[in-house]
Amino acid sequence: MVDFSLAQKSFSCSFKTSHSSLWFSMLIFASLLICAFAGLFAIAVWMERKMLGRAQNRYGPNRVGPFGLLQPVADGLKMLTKEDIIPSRADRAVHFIAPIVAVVPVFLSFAVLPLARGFSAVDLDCGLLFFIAVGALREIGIFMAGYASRNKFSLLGALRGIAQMVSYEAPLILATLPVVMVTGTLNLQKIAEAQAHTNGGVLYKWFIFAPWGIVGFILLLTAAIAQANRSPFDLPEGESEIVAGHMVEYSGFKYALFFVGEYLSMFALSGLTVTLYLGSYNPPLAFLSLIPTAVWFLLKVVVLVWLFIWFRATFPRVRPDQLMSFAWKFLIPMNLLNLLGTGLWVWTSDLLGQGSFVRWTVTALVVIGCWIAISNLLFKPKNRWRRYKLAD
Amino acid sequence: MEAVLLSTMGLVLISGLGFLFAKNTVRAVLWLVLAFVAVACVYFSFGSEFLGLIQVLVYVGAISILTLFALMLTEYKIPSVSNQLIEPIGLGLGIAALVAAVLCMSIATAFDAKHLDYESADLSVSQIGQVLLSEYVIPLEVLGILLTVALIAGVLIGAIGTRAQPWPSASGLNEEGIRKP
Repeated sequence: MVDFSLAQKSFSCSFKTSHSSLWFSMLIFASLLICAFAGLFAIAVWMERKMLGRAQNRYGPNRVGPFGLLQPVADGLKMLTKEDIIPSRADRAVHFIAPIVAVVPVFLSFAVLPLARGFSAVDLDCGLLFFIAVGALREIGIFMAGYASRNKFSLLGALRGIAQMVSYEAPLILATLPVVMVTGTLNLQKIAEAQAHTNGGVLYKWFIFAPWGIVGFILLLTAAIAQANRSPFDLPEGESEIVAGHMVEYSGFKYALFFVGEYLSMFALSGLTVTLYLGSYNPPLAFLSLIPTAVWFLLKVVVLVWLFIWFRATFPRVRPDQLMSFAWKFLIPMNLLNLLGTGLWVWTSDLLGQGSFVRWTVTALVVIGCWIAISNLLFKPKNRWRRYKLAD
Repeated sequence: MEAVLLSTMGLVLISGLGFLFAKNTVRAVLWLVLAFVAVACVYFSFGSEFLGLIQVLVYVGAISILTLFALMLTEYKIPSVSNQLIEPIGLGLGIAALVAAVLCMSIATAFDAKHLDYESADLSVSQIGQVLLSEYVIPLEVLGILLTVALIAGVLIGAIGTRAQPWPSASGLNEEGIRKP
């Protein structure tokens, strides 16, 4: 088991004063993080194009390298060499800063994720709160892009995007609460450590194996897709509706920066989901703990991103009113009832043996019963059985 | 450590000035966002992480977005501020000087020592939670009721005067399967 805290300590001990070593080690780790996640962006671009291609019964890019692996490089070169066009009546300063404000908060949010056992760039006591607060900064960047372009449609796309992101912040925060209730801490490292115990020596105790964890995982994943503006919630950049939305007046590398922000926020939210529900860096089975924990974290994040891309290829885009009613009428009540189920779980946490099996099934019944009740109560489709009036 | 504190406070001042002298209203709101972030940085440099993060989450993540929506979605022509001085500038400056004098005197007499000795607040989030739910539970619940009432009031104000229309179905047929315009 590779433990990175030892590396961190030995690094800071090699300098005389503690002050400069702190700054230097911070610099090293921050630049490592940035390079690693920028590299992940390239992999995500390739994965997305290949997967979307295969889902649409065509090959993805296959010209540029073996299996199109150098396609992100070609894309990057193209974006860098494009002319930078700014509308003449645009607000130049705001237009310039908007891509920066859309990308930097996402890099900030990587700082608190536990990437391996004992390794996260910053160990904050309220790491979860930091993650969510910094994610909220991204919306300002989207607004700035939409406003500064002096384009009615880009402003409309920006406002739609912000409305979507703000209304899905509540389900996102609520879906992280069961984990906080069970572990009693906002520190993401401690949440990862709480899932580091095995159940009888075989199965690691990921929170997704608890009944409230299954529901919480699905709800968090849904809110994360909406927060990252990914299909089926990609209203702000719906290509067939409002061509590129708030990014329409951007060209060249600034456009690429918006996509960097979006893909990296996809990675960040996957990282959060993995940390909270999928056991962060812990392997699923005890005998697999030979593989280093950093590899496990990366693997799980890549699997979730693969899932995001699969959803993009499969689901049609939602309408704005469907989006809002889904958030307010289903996700938020379901999250609150999931909290109820989690409360039941925590209340009966001193049952062992046979009692723990009963506890699992009773909590599962409560939570799944609430899901079925809410989805049938609030979403009665009018044309459930389509009636046709045919000529007699 | 004092350099960090002073520079974050200086950032608050600079963004406040930028907010005052901004060219149009949306730019002013963006300077205000910077002011909120700078105030959060002041909280961080005092060691209260929780308060700083709540400041970012609430002020930047919600209140500034509310302000921007209010600007964009109402029929408000964003004026460009002209560079003319407003007429009663002497009165304005006098009142500003008076307010500044009152503030400075009250701050100076509030602390006995000349040198401000701050310590990082060793308050963990769980302690804040404990206190909120034991000593201050009534204010917490009253705040919750206040926010709920505001939310319902907002929805009601928006819904008055509209009648809920069923969304037209894709097949052109209504509930009984009859084609209606």
